[in-house]
Amino acid sequence: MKYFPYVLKHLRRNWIRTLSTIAGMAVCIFLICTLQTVLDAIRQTTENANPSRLITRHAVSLVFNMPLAYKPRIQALPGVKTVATSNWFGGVYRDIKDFFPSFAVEAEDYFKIYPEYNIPPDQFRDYLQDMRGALIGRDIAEKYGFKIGDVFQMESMIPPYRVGRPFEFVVRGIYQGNSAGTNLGVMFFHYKYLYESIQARKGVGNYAGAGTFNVEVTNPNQAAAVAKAIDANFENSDVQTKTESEGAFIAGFIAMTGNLVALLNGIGLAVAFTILLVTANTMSMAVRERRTEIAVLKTLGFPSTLVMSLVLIEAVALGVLGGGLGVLMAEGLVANLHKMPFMGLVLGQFPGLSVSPFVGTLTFSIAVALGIAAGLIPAVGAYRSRITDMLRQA
Amino acid sequence: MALPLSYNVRSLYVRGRVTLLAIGGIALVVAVLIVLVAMAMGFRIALAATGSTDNAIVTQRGSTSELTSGMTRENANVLAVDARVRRDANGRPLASPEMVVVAALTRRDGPQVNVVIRGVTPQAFAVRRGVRIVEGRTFQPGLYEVIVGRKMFDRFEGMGLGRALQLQRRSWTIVGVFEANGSGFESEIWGDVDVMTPAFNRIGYQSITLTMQDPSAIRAFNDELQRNPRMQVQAIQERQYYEDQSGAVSGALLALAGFVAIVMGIGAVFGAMNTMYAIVAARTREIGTLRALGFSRIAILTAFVIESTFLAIVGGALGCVLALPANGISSAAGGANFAEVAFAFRITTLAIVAGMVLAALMGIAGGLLPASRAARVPITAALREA
Repeated sequence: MKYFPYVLKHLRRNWIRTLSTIAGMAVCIFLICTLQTVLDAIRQTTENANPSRLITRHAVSLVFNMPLAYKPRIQALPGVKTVATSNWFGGVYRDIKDFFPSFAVEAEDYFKIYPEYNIPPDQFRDYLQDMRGALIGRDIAEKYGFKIGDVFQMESMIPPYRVGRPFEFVVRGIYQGNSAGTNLGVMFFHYKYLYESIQARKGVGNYAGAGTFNVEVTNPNQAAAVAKAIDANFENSDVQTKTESEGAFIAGFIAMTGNLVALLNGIGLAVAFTILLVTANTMSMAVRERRTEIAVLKTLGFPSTLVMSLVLIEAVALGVLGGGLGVLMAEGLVANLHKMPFMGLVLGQFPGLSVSPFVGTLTFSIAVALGIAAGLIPAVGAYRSRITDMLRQA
Repeated sequence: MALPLSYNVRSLYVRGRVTLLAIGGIALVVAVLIVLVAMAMGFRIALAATGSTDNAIVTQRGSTSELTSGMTRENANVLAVDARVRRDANGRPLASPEMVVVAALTRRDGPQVNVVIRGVTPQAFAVRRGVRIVEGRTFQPGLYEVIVGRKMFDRFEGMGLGRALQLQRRSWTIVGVFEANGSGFESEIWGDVDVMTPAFNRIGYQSITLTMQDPSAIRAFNDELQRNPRMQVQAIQERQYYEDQSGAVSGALLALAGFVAIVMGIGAVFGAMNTMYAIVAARTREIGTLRALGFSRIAILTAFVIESTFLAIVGGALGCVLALPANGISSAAGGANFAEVAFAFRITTLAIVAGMVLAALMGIAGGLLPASRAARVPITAALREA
């Protein structure tokens, strides 16, 4: 500890270089921290998935609907607690630019399965009593200024749901989240409303079906067995099903976006390497400048290991300062990043991003490790150097 | 009077190791930028290649993709016999009515992803002239046979000539593999539309693609269709249609590229700055001498900015070389039809130019402060020092 002032003095000696190294490191660590936060958000979506929830869809793909009559048949299987029909409506409000996800659901069952949607009880009651009722997340309400009782129209992008005129909805409830990861940007409305609007135009060849059956099982340990039982139940039917855990279902959507995870990790690696180069550059300059001093220290009898450690500590100090600053920057900026003009495209789908303690610690450790790595070669050089050579060269 | 360029080049050479580290930092930034831009471009090029400028694709009015479009067979027939549609040697119109659905299939690396299944007529190969069978043969109309795009064939489970695909309780025999100039079609499965439509419980078509006699008339054709009360359809040039579909993904990738390049670039500029400061400090005496010889402050400043720009351009060139292996890497991303489109990274001139411009900017930014310090060196102090 008594050598600490010595290290600090060295860092201050060429303060421009120290500052620019720390700044360079901080921006890079900020970038790594942001990328890791996005990766963490992706991980969270699958990890937060509830193990007692299953999603049943048409075996070919989500694009096809299943017969509504499958619901009671799933409900009757042992181990099944609740089943709710849910259809992706793909409604467009005003313009495609104002798109938000909308689902037609059987509310009584659906919200039993998804207790994370926090709907005030009186609003939920009003919603149940209004055929055109809609429940919207707080984010949608804030973005478009919706209040309870507001009437709005939406048209679906999906051909069978285009019934010749837009669907009219009344905002009956605005929900909050019971947990941090709850998506507050979704709209729900009555499946019955969708069904009857389509039935009214039956002659055109449209028919209503179930997009997914969202299933809650009584015992999460048996979820896999129940999933198998559901699919086996329809094995010999005209429409076969595919049932998977909520986590696997979400993971499928993430796989669709391509190799995002590998891409972000690759960028992170390149950034880490850049930090290494910048910091190694600084440290090798610092040691070269100080050859005489190192020789003098050694002459005075300071052991080579101590001389080496002093260089290393200096490098670690750079890592700590740069890393700390970078993580702080990320913590301050990451939540607002999606508001920047072009970043919304990338980060828009992850509302409420924040640097988790895990990611913060991870990136900080990366910074410190990079500091050590950058200091290693110059430090070993200082350790090995011969006093006479160094004194002569200076 | 300006200093000769060789002065700068040689002085970088003298301080080799520090210079190399700074060059390495800049090279990495440029490489990352080029790879990301190459990815965005690759996706855009793959989709653009899907469409032809001669063709018009007609979909349901207001639909954003074929999957969200629907039209009756009657409407498709009326469109096919339009006088503006080109005809083949036998007098049949070059019109390809198509059914589009997606199926979740298992990729070799594990996940299930959506794949476009397209029902077509034999005329589709006359309308899409870039599509050709490279293995096996084409499907026979009326049979449960399919042909598979090259990229799809290479990347999914269960692919092989003669093997069968189980979909909708039917067995579809894979009889051929087709290529389509690396375009989005290569990520699809094609079969007979009249077999597929009932098999997948569809009614009518999703789209009809028409080869026009006069491609410049597509806009007028669309204007007319938009006013036509008989059918709810819209027409757009096929290439434009697919380019529009690449917008969201390539836009997001370019945004990511911009963000990463700027932030990383700032980091690397600090590295270059350190190097330049070290170079200036080591040459204080030399600078003093130059000033004493009569070189102006401006000449010194310019010389050092040039030196750092040169360093950065060398770094940029190295970055281009580092990025080169990325050319041709194949990847996949979500396309418009709620399905995956495979594409190859393309290092375009634009990517290289963007990388080099970024490198030059980093060089100038990193050199400015150290150069101004060099320019302010007081002659007497500099000569006395060391």
